[in-house]
Amino acid sequence: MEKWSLMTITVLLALTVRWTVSLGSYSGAGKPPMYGDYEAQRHWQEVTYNLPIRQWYFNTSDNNLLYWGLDYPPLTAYHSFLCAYVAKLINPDWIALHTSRGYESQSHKLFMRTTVFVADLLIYIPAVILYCCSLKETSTKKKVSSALCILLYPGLILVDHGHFQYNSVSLGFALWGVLCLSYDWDLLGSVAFCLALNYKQMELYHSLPFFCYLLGKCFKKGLKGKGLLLLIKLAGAVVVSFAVCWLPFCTDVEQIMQVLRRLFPIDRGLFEDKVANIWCSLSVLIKIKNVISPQTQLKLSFAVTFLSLLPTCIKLTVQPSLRGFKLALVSCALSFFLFSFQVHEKSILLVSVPVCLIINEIPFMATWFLLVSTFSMLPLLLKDGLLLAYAVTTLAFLSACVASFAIFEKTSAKDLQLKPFSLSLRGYVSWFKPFPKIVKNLFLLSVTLMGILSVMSAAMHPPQRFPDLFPVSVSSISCLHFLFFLVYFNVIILWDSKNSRNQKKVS
Amino acid sequence: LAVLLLWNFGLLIVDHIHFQYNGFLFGLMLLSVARLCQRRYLEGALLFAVLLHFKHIYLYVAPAYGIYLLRSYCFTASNADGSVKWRSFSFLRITLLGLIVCLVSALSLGPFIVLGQLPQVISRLFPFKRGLCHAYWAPNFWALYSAVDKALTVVGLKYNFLDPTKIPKASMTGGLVQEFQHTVLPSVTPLATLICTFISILPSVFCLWFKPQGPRSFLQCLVLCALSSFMFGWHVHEKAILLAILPLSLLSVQRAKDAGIYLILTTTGHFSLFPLLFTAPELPIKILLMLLFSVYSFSSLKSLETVS
Repeated sequence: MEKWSLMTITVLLALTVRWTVSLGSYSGAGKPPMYGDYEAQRHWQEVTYNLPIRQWYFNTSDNNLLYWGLDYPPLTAYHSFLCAYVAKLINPDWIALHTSRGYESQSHKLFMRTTVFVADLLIYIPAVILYCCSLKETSTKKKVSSALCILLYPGLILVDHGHFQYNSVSLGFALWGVLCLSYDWDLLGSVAFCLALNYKQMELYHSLPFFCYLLGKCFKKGLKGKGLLLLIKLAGAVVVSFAVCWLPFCTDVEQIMQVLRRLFPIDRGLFEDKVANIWCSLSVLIKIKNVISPQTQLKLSFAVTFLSLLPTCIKLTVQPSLRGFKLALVSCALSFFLFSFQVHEKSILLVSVPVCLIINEIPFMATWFLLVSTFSMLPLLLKDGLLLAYAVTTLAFLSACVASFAIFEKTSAKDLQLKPFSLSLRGYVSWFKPFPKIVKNLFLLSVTLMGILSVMSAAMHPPQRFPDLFPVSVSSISCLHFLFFLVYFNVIILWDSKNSRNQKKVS
Repeated sequence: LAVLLLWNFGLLIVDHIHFQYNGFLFGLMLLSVARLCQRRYLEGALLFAVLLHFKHIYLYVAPAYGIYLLRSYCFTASNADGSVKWRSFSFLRITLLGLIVCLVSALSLGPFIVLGQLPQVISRLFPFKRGLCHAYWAPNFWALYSAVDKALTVVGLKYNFLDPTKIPKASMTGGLVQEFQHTVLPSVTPLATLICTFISILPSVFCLWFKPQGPRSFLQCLVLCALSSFMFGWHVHEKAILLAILPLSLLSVQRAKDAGIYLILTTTGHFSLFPLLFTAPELPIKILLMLLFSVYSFSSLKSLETVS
């Protein structure tokens, strides 16, 4: 069938899945007094519509920051304002100041779900489709399969359309940034990424690869001539985009400082809730929070994060390539996720979307990672009552990947891009013959384990002595997987030399 | 073909959202059609008899079955030019068929006959008191008829041809399931609808009788019977359009012309099912699914055509 009809079918299928998930429950449904993320978004609409800009981020009598205060950068606030404007036209009760706290109704739910749906449709989905169409050296069938698998990724669907957030906007903008960079439209790419950054500050996880890649490009062009020009243009673009976004707040230094304080809540501690993070997993064995002081915690986490992503960033600056850039997005975001401060489990999406971008190059590992990332959010999803959606979308995603990419046949060392690495190790280790089989069995073991744990979390009550048994097991197992993936992705990046790419072209 | 049948939009929303059990019934019907195509006539007849006792809506296509079985099975051979060979009538076969039908009917209606409740069962099954059109009008001939009647009423009232006091308010469009009288045009009785239906299936039935070309013509006759009964029947549900769409799917993958007809029928038929899902959250779902199915059927049938 023609490409356009296949793509249309893919998009329609993706939209149907999203809307069907959104028929389910959302975060904090019917749970006073604080409710959940859904109520937070509604509250931001209320605040941004009814109060003047200078009061949005401040604690005033009208704006109690303890009740879901704004803690995302200005673009989120503007988006909420826009939604509030529409809400006012339909039913002003939804955003009435003070009186609409905890407002819950069928029509309001429909409205909120529609805002997420529209945002997704306008920003994220076109970026994915254009990205897949722009893939070089791939058949139409592969392009459509990639689009299908990326759009069916359960994690993003469940968090955005189930739990209720607007991650698809910031991730979509970041994706537009990657798309522009792949066409060498560096200025547009940087502007797009600045927009992403100004929507959610977690995009900082992706900022280093963008920075190193563009810097590397400037170096390559020679710092005396074209390179310097490019550098100045990029710097200008970044400054201008930030200025435009922050314009209303630039009147007063105090405004800017307050926004920054809300964006980076340093006093909230090393981690909250159960995250598939090193610090949370380690705290099972050693109570880190009690052993080290908060200041030291901050310094330690920064140090470890930067140490772990230094090799990749240096390599990217020295040898900027699009492939290296995409892989660096994955590994840097993963390092940040594992070692950084105040990480939420939803931040794994920042790693998953770059992994989706390389799904057609390393389908086996990408599918494995995406499954684990969805699994790591299981406690959150169970809390929101999204078990059915989780099960169905995960199974659908797995079947789509298995059918499109025949992943079980692509587990050899060459397919996993490990050839250069194994060449250097050949001298020391000689058991690489059964490698594909080992990898396949590990995958099956991992999936079975995740399946069993999912069923147990959903169906059984934890024993009295360990009330958090299931969430902790889920996060620890996910953390182990993520550490393994971190090592894997770093290995691929560091051993991805020009030689291997030449070999590919010749063969 | 599998995707067109399994993911048929109409079936999906009627069975899994609106909630009915048509899926397995259509499965039975397709199975019986398959048996007939494989010339295992007795099994096909048995399956159809069972089907009929599950849902009597399959009476719509019973004439097709009856004529086909009579013609192709009971007359064991045809003349060279395809016309009926009266001599080859087989009493054995017709007895077998009759036996199957009676057996199945006995099994299903037996207890009620013993209890003497057969008239009540029949009146529940064929509720002629329910009025010409269902609460949601099925898009058939009588809907047009009633619409014309309504239009004429309005015109009549405006120009004072009719007496306003004699006309009940919102008689047909009120959404209630009752018997109504048409105001301007003559009222329609169940007998009238039966006659109309009968006349409209005559051409296809005659073709099947005089020149059967095997299972293909049987399928065509099946579809036509279903459509005719849909158009002219008494108290038709709009879900009955599925009875015509699903068998037509079987024909559509074989010939391009049938594919064209299929696409028109499916798109309009599915669109007519839209009022079944009326809540706001379901609106995007029905639109998306409908688009999905339409895009898929158009492009896949087109590519099938270009390949062959």
